[in-house]
Amino acid sequence: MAKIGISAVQRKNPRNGKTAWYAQPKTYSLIGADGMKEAVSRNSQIDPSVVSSVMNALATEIKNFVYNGHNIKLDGLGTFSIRYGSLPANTASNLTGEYVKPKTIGFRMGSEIRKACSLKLVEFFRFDVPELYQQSGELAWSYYTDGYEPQP
Amino acid sequence: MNIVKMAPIKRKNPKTGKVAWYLQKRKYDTISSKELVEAMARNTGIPVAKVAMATDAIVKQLKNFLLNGHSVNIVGLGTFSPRIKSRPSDSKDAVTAENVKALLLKFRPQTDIREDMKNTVGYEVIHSEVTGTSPAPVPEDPYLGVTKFGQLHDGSLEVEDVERTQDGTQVEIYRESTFLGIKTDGTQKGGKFCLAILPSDTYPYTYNPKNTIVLKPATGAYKKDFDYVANGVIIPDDAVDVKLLYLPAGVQVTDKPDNFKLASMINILMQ
Repeated sequence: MAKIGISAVQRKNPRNGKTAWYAQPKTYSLIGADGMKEAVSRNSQIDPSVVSSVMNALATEIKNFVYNGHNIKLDGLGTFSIRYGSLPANTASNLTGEYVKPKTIGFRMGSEIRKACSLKLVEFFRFDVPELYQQSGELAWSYYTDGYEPQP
Repeated sequence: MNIVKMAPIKRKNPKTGKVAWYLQKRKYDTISSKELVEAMARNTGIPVAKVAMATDAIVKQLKNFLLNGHSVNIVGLGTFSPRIKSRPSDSKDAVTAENVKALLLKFRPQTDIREDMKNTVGYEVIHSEVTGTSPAPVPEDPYLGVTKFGQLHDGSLEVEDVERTQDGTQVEIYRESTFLGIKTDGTQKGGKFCLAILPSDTYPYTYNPKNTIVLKPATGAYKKDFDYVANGVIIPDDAVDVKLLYLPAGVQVTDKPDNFKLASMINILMQ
């Protein structure tokens, strides 16, 4: 079962202005290109140089397709698309390319990963309170101290 | 220069209520994983099978890291990290796993992408789609007599994903405004079309009136392209499913699952 540590953070609700405490995920580490390459090649027996080339190509091709208006549905993950805004005009004929406010690349989770994120399949525990992570938090604590430890 | 084709569309700004013309991306083909893999193989010279295997392994590993609380940076694209929707508590110690409403994945694009897009992406406005001089052919839809879908898209008016720090506290605002229009062939009489949204915390998986939006008959500029529309629809981040239902006359949306056996369902591709 996936385990995610949470900590408490005080936030202001922008709608009603009230301040309260909310749960937020504790990120143990940021996995970079090397970490991904190492973990993927270890778990899939694919040559690290191939993994590295494919990861670079993945980023390049996603950008290429998005920049040409396409959405890209990556199985198991989700859909990447262009994000933009538009300025208003009084008539349609006034609209030109200048009215587009380019933003960036957007991502929407796919159904498969939404299901994997189901609360029934993920365990949450307080990471910042020793008594609370004592049992279920041991695993995550080792992640924190030892870097990462990919699941088989 | 990459070119994205845009078409004018008349819309009501949900914030101000003003109606104006905006630009909306034309419908493009969605690139599947298979097409993406083929393109990657072409440009790297690595065999397709190997690229496909590596891509699967990368996605699997990415999921594994994220679901165990790590953030992952894909160089050249951006960073994925877990994100939580939480219920509020009065005190710090009262925050437990029970506060978690939904687990989501957040994608933060690399900062240079915005600048890159400004320099490398151009926008071409197709005005003919408004004047109607060359209407696009309407594909036959096998379902229910619905012959045309409007895009259910990230509304250009406006998707906000703002984070700011105030006195050490972080505030996140996320808001999506969407539009859905459908055109029917007129075979459906006396019933109504609804957009049913299924939040992830719903169990068992049943739809209910609270999360169902009835499409209204199209009026004004929308009438030209659509028969029924829903405007300013808010689809929560954690929605696991969105369906278009046709409810025959006399059938009401209730929280009884059996009720939906009576309704015909159409899956909607959320862009």
